[in-house]
Amino acid sequence: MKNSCKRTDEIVTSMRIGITPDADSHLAECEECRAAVSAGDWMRQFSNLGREEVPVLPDPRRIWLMAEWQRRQRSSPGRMRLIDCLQWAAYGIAAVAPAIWFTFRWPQLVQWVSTLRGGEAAWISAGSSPVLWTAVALGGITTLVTLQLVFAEE
Amino acid sequence: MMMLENGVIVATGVLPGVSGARRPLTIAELESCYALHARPLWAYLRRMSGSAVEADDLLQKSFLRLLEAPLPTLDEAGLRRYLYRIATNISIDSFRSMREGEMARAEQLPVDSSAILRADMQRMFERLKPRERALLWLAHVEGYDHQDLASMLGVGAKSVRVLLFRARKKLQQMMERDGRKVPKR
Repeated sequence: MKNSCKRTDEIVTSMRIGITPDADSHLAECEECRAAVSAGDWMRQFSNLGREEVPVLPDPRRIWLMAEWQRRQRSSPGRMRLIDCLQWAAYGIAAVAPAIWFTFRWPQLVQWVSTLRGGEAAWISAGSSPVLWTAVALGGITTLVTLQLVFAEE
Repeated sequence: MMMLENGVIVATGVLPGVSGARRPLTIAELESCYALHARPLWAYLRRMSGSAVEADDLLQKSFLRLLEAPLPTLDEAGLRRYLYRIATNISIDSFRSMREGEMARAEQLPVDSSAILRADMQRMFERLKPRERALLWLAHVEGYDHQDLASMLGVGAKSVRVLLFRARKKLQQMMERDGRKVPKR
């Protein structure tokens, strides 16, 4: 079968709007047009199956807002960089502030924990503080990552 | 620039006095355009991808691209063509970046005969290349002619003829292998 028939499009169209006797007789002798019509029938059957499926389409307002946000990012990269810097500065402050607070309040903290648990809190000594620092650092990192995800989603 | 005329979106050109720029669509304009075109476009993307979730994602990307790209002067039919062109390009790019057979596997198993038939047809359709799928759908379901198809797919009108011929032939061979005989008239 070669791609040779010039009437294929006309025949395919006529099948959609109503076949004429001329198109019908042409179909009887043209294999290419029969294949085209057959493919067309198959495609229409395929498209009709599942028409009852009612999709929950994405909200256009959300799409518009996303586009608007992207447009602003592109139109004012300097401002967006500033916002990024401020965002990272906020994360930095959120991480450093507790660390400073812990550093200056460490003796009081140890004392406070000791009063809660009596002598059992003796392990929170200067020697064991790296364990606590690691825990604080990991907690801080987890918080930052979570905040990053929340801000990104927003 | 697009305007609402009798509830129909019409693109009328760029904003006067703003060289090379266009006014972004308002939410109301987008909603109107969305109401007209989103559902048939989703159906197309659903068949192209074989997955409702993927179709949602591709639909969103298509409208995002519509909002981002400089819009040529278009009437409603032109806008529809333009949207299908964007959607086709995005879906073909998306398929290229995915491993074969990765898509649509998360779909639910069919539960009735209609769903089984649809799943069979979808599987057969997915054996075609993305561009062949797009061509067959746009030509036979949406009814676009060769000229439109050529502009949508970025190829020459003569190439469309050849590509469409090959796609039909491939589909026909699949149908024959699948036991669906080509009707003799």
